[in-house]
Amino acid sequence: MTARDDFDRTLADWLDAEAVSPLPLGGLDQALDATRRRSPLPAWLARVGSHWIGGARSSSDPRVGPGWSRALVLLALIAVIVGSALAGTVLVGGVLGPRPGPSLVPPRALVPPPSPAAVIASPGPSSLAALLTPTPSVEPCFTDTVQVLTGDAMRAIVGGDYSGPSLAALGPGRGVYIVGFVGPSRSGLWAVGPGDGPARPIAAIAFRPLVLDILDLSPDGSTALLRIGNVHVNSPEPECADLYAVRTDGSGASRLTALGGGHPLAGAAFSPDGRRVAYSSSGRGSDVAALTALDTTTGRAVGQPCNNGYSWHDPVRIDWSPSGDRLVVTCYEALRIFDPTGVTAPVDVPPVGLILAFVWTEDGRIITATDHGFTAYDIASQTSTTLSDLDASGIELIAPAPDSLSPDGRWFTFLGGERGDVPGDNFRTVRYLVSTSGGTPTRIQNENEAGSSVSWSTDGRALISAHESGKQVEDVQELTLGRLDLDTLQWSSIGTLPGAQGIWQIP
Amino acid sequence: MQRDLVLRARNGDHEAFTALASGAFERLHRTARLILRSDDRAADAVQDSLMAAWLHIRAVRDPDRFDAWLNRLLVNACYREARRVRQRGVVEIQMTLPDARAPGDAQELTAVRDQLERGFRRLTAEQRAVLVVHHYLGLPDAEAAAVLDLAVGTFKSRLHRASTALRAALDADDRRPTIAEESIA
Repeated sequence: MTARDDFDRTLADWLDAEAVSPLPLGGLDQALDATRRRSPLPAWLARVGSHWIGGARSSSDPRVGPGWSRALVLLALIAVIVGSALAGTVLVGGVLGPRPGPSLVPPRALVPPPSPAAVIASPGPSSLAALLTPTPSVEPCFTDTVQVLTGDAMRAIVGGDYSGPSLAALGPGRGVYIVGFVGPSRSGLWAVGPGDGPARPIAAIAFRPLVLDILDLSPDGSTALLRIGNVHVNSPEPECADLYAVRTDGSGASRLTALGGGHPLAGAAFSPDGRRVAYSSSGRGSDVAALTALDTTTGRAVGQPCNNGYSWHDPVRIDWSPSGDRLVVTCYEALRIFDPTGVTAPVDVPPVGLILAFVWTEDGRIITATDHGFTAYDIASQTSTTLSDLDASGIELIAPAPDSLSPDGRWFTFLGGERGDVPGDNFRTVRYLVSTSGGTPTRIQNENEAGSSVSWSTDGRALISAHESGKQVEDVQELTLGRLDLDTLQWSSIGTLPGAQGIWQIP
Repeated sequence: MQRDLVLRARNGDHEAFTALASGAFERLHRTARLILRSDDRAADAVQDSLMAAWLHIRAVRDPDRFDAWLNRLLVNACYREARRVRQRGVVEIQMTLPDARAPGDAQELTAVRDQLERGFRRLTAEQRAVLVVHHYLGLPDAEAAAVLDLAVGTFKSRLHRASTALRAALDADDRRPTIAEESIA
């Protein structure tokens, strides 16, 4: 009996138990009522659920009736809304924060900073070469004990026993960088390419965090920003995630933030000159979350209120203006432009809907993608222009990645739903590419490839993809790397990453 | 028996389809609830899948494959339901009622169950679906892949990844007390 067998048996037993545990019948009753009200389901068919309820459960059981759960939810919501109102905030679509203004007006601060911005940390004069190390977290966080190891220390814990990533992501920028897990208890960062040659181990972590992302590379490619964190759903322990800088030559690594429990790191990006790092943290309830600009040469950090939510699946995007004098990020569901020095107040871009992705282009526009289409906001004239309507394509948008807009704002890639001859029967998730200026989305990956990680080349002329080939080598997935030329829409192979034994040759 | 019902339902027999749906309802709802972790959303998904089944029953070419076809409709309905919630940015507040089933001397069992519950919630709907069709429905790989509308290799790959993600979630839970003690110390 192996550990895997034990795990599988435990999981199967739990699923069996969960499947037959008592059901809150209120929800089912309501759904069946809704069936009768809103669907063409024949009345005789709508009785199906009622028969089942009558035979197996007592719908009059007050413990699990709709009144209890809905009353409790209502009370909880009232408490949250009242609490939010007292804190000067309004609940907006799941994110606590002030409502965004209708146009270019300074937003109301969640908690007014002492000045337009606050210097919130100062680790002392330094440069990123020395890799800043913050003071420990105020609130305990598992990242206080995490070390990203490089050099001999890395080799000491991983030896030659790489088994390859079971989870991979592409880093933006030069070459291909991959974070992944090694065995059941370790994680690592590797560089692949550019050019032929084996994958090169850069750093290792002596355990497996739930959150592990490459957020950005410095413009010179010398440093990668990693997000390392954990989530604790339905647990009193707050979520934690911090920012780490790792030298891509494997010469060093360090933790850059100590945000503490409940304020997980959401995203980070290097400035165009590579001297500053902007990162955002999230908060719950009336906690303050901040967008921080850290000058890596002086150690000076300027924080400004901004709560942009937190996803352990997708990092929050932060984009610098080409000149590096402004930052744009989503705060309280609005696109907000910040002065990284905090001298001038932030301004909101006029709302365009639920923002899925955005990019600040070289020509001074902010291109935004919503679930309905694309908009360009011209910084100089402060005017917005609708570029195209995605709804007209007839493709059901499922999930764009945060960086699904190309750097020049000309292209957008997303996972979309595609149906066959029988509606509801063979719904497929495939990857599309569409020009932000309009046109029909082009299917660029089928359903077997659509779960890939994608990244744009720095010139915006190609889309790089890594997806599982479906082959397993010693229980580890083989990855296939490809490059889509955006002029010809033709894929070319970069190579494969055989999972086992760790030497990844790029043909 | 079921084959006859499918053939009759395919010809528009309401009572035959009702019998098929009644026989499948409990299984569908339990499966949907495991994937979506919500009774209300599971009910919506079951409703959508039964409606689709009724509207498209003539698409069932092999009556013996009715259950697999219905499972596939359900999984697709679950995906759509999960996407709907995700796209709206809805934050669900899960209200857990006191569990009268857990006796005082079963704390360890309850702890394991809670740990699995937390870990399972952290997975995506797609990952949960893979684990449910494999471990709960107990379908062989080829049939599970067909239900999920995947190639067999892709199904195996996703099963591996989902198991890995769940293990990672459980590992994270296991670490919590130690981490807290180390941090405080």
